[in-house]
Amino acid sequence: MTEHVTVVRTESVPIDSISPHPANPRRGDMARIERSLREHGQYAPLIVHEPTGHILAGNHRWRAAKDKLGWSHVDVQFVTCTETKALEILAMDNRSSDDGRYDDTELLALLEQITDSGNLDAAGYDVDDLDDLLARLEEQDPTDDTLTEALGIDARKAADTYNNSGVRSIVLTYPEDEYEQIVLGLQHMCARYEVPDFSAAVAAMIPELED
Amino acid sequence: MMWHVADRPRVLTSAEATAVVGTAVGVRVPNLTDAAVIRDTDTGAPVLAYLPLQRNHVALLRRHVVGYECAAVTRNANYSTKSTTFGYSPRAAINRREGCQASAFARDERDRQNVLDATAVTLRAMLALVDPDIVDRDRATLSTIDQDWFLGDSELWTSGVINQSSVLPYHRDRFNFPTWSAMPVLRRGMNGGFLHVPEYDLTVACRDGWAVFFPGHDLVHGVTPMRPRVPDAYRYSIVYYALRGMKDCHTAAEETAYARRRRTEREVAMAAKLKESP
Repeated sequence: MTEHVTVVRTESVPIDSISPHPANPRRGDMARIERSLREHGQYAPLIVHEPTGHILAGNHRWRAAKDKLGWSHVDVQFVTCTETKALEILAMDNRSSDDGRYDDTELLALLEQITDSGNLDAAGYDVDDLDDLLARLEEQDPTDDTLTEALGIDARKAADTYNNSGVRSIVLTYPEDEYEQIVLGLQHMCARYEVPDFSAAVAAMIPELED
Repeated sequence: MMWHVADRPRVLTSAEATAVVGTAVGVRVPNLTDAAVIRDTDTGAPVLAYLPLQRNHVALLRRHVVGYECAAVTRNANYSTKSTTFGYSPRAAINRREGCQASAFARDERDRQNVLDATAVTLRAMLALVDPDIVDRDRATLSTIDQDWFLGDSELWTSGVINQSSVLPYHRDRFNFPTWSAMPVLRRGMNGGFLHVPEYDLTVACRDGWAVFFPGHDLVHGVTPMRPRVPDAYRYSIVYYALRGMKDCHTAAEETAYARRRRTEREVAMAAKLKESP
């Protein structure tokens, strides 16, 4: 049968009466945790193993409260269990949040709601996070042709515009002797077709060749 | 669209700002992060505007710009950028461009150019909203340019450049008309890349989907260093401007005819020269 922990009591205790768990392998984001405590206070108790006084969940909150904020007391929920179970909880509490994912659309909605009514910074985000989230969602969004319509963009207009001004060149390569002959020949073509340039001469000559 | 108007003192003269041209911009923290029109404290003249585009337009722009791989361009011995010009190009015989014409991007990337043209119209509307005098004044300055050479119906910009995650040292846009440029930015996962204008010590955040409007010909400006937060980070700035070289362009049809004649003259002259040479 699975052994569960027992919650003994919840109370505010002197901060030095408990201690971080010596086996805790987690290295937390101290700056963000400090900001959270500063902005919101302690909204959830630390979980402490009563027999040893070691913190099973909330080691970094304790550190930030003590070292960064100078708090004298913290709220603690004391639990009892075996030493082995305490280690399992210590590991699982960290592990259980490792593989979490966000639904970006829902996260964006949440952050926009916070931005409208509150302080994004107090939520642990900044405008770069918000912009990145929005950009990522836009990148994932399949092409929406109605957008061009909604913005009044006429694709044919650009095609017409750039057909008119988009010039393309054909570069032909000859040895020098032949080059002189070709230029001379093209000059004759200009005279024959009464056109001012080589491009027009070639354009006039090709339909004749096709006939 | 909401914005605030803020007065800001000039902290460097134009000549003092010239002294920093060519130098790299240091790491800076943005001091312009909200929608605003900045005016010179002494003259009251507008010097810069920073505004968000409509979100559906940003989405469309992103779809047509992000992922486009710009070519590496060596600017000088000290730095190179990844950038692509779009819109129209003036004559430049040295580049075999005998007449004014559409850029290679405009010819080859019609859908993208189409969206950039539509964005030009949107940007013009935004600028007109914050200060119609700027638009009127710039249109008057650009009145010598034929209508064939403006992006979309913008009447303000002939050309532009897409800069792909490019850090630019302090510079003035010396090939442009002395009119206002517009620079929307698309970015994700990139720190830095802010626009710094030393004459007013303005560091503009250049948020994703926001545009900076300012006279880039007159004001020295540069881009702060960038550092990606994620492997696929990007920052594209899309700069719209009016090239001075476009003032000499006739209509598109006339330019094409002119280019063909010039090319013919060059070939004839070259053939004659070869014939005369021993």
